[in-house]
Amino acid sequence: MLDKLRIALVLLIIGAVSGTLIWGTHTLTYDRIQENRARARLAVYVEMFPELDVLDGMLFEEVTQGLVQQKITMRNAAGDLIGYAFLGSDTNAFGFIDVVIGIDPSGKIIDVIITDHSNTETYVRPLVANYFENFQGQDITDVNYDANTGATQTYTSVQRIIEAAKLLVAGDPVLEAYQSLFTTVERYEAVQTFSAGDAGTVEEVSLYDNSDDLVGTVYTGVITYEDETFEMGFAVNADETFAGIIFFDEAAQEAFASAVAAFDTFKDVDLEAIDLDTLDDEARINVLKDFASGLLRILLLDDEELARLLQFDFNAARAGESSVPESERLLETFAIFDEEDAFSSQVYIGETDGYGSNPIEMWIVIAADGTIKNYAIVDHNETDGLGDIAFDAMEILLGEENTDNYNQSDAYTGATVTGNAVRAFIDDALADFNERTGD
Amino acid sequence: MAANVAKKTAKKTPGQLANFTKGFIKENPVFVFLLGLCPALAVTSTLETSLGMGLLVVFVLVLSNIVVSLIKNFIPKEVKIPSYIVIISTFVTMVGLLTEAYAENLFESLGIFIPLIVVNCLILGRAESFASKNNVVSSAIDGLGMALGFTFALMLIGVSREFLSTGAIAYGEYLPLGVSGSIFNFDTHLFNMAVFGGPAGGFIVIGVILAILQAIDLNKKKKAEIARQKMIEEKKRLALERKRKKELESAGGQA
Repeated sequence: MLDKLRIALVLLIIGAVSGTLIWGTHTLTYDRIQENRARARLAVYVEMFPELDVLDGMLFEEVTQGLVQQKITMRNAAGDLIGYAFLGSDTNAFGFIDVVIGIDPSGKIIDVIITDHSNTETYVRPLVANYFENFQGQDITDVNYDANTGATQTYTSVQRIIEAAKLLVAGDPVLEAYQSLFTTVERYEAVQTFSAGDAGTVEEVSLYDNSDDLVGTVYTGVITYEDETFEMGFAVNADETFAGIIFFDEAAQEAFASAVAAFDTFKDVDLEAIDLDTLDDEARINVLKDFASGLLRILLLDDEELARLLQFDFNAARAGESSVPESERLLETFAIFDEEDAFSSQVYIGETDGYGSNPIEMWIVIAADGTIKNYAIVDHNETDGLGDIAFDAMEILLGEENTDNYNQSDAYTGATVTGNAVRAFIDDALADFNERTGD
Repeated sequence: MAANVAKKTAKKTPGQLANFTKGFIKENPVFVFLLGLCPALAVTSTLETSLGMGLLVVFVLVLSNIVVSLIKNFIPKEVKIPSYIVIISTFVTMVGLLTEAYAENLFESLGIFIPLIVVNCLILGRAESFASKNNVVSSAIDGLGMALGFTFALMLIGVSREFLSTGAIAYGEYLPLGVSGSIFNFDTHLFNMAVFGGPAGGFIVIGVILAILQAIDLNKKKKAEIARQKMIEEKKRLALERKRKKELESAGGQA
């Protein structure tokens, strides 16, 4: 025991002395290293913009969105705009990579330079030598990338930074869509995703101005019209009044222009006071009405418990008593009753062991007629890609609302463990359901 | 008493001198033990980068040898190697930061090979085989001698490669000398063999230098062998003469 303590003490002392020495050296050299780095970046800017007025010609702007951290407006000694530089960084499997992208005032790329990185030098050097020249002269809003560079990770990072810079130049179409309703929006942030009955899965997105104050919220989702799907958003002002309907695609904006205009009659109206029945009975308006009614039902609920139940079953009015089924996978079950107090469905919540015995948290809702009505994977640690294959396959099968379909194992070949885990959960839930209903 | 001390000192001096000089030729880490070949191949495209890497190794090897020798009795043997690694990596981190601050061109040029000094077997080898068994002064001298020997080897490779690939030997490009230029510059295509600037050139130059050193060594051994053979033959001849003389004497006696 004493020996072990001695070893620990010696290692502790060596570690402490080492740490102190490194800290001291770091403190001593920090300012100088920062100066060197700044000088190196300045050299890059001068290389890109030979006419640059290095004393007064640079305007630095911090950028908070995407992989680009800084936008620098470049001017010559006469004060004329000579271009922009974007300073961005990304992290890939091999480490970090810092990139400077220089463009001229017309948006043509002057050069792309890697200023610092921890990727494998053997790959980075030929990549820069052979492929970076291709960027020069290209329009940043429409860059042609090389497919096989031999340094996929590094090149993908550079590509991602260029795409982020492109959004700053050409504008982010999603942000622009939000700005069409909320002119002061500077950034947006997805807050949560929830199920809203007829509106399907809805994502709540918060919109902020440049002082970081909330200016509104948009609930985005997908609607289907004549077998085509469209991404849209239901916008709400910060004071909980209706702001408008947004479409993210230009073609959809045109196609639904009259329907959107019909909804504009509710502009600045309290959400509670919106009466969808006053709208015309027209196909496109009806699609939007279905989305709005599903969403409003959730948004206007004061009752948190009911809001939770509606995620499982949109007919829910109240839940029955909760119990614990016999299956190890099923942790909780309860019945849901509709407004007429008739049994609507049975909810099963639990965990099933996925790949490497990692738990997959999920729930499933079985309707009164024994069909699978709804389900969700709440959390999982399955391998990216493989797990998704299984989950996507399950979603498609369960979308058919056919309890037999989920058992088709071929649908998730390649992710057998995950697929079987989800299937076992559903088997247990159905067995318990059949026992309860006496089938 | 004073005479004894003088005797001891007099005895030690040549020992420390040999300890210092052994790293240059007799026990040169690169050319004899083939240690630290990774930086010897990777950073020796110019004389300055070779010298730069050599100086960093001098700093790390001398200090790590001193520290290891100082605390050798306190380190439990179970954690000997991890402790050495921590000590070495501390000095490497320090030297890395100092290089980035005061010799940024050298830092850029040496790149990943600065942190890789931690795993240079020369440094860990000297800590384990010498510093952990000897006193501080001997360890410091051994570290200095070995590191300078390593530097000498790197510079020899570097100067050959730079000359063959560029026809010139530049200064002030990587080291913060304050001035820059070329020691000499043969502006001819004869010395413009780019292959010597790359890793292949490193292998070729090291190979040629090793071959020359081997040839010199073999030649020396051959000469020594010839001398030995001559000596043996001479001894044999003398013995034969003595034998014959004895035989003649005994034959004369009988007559």
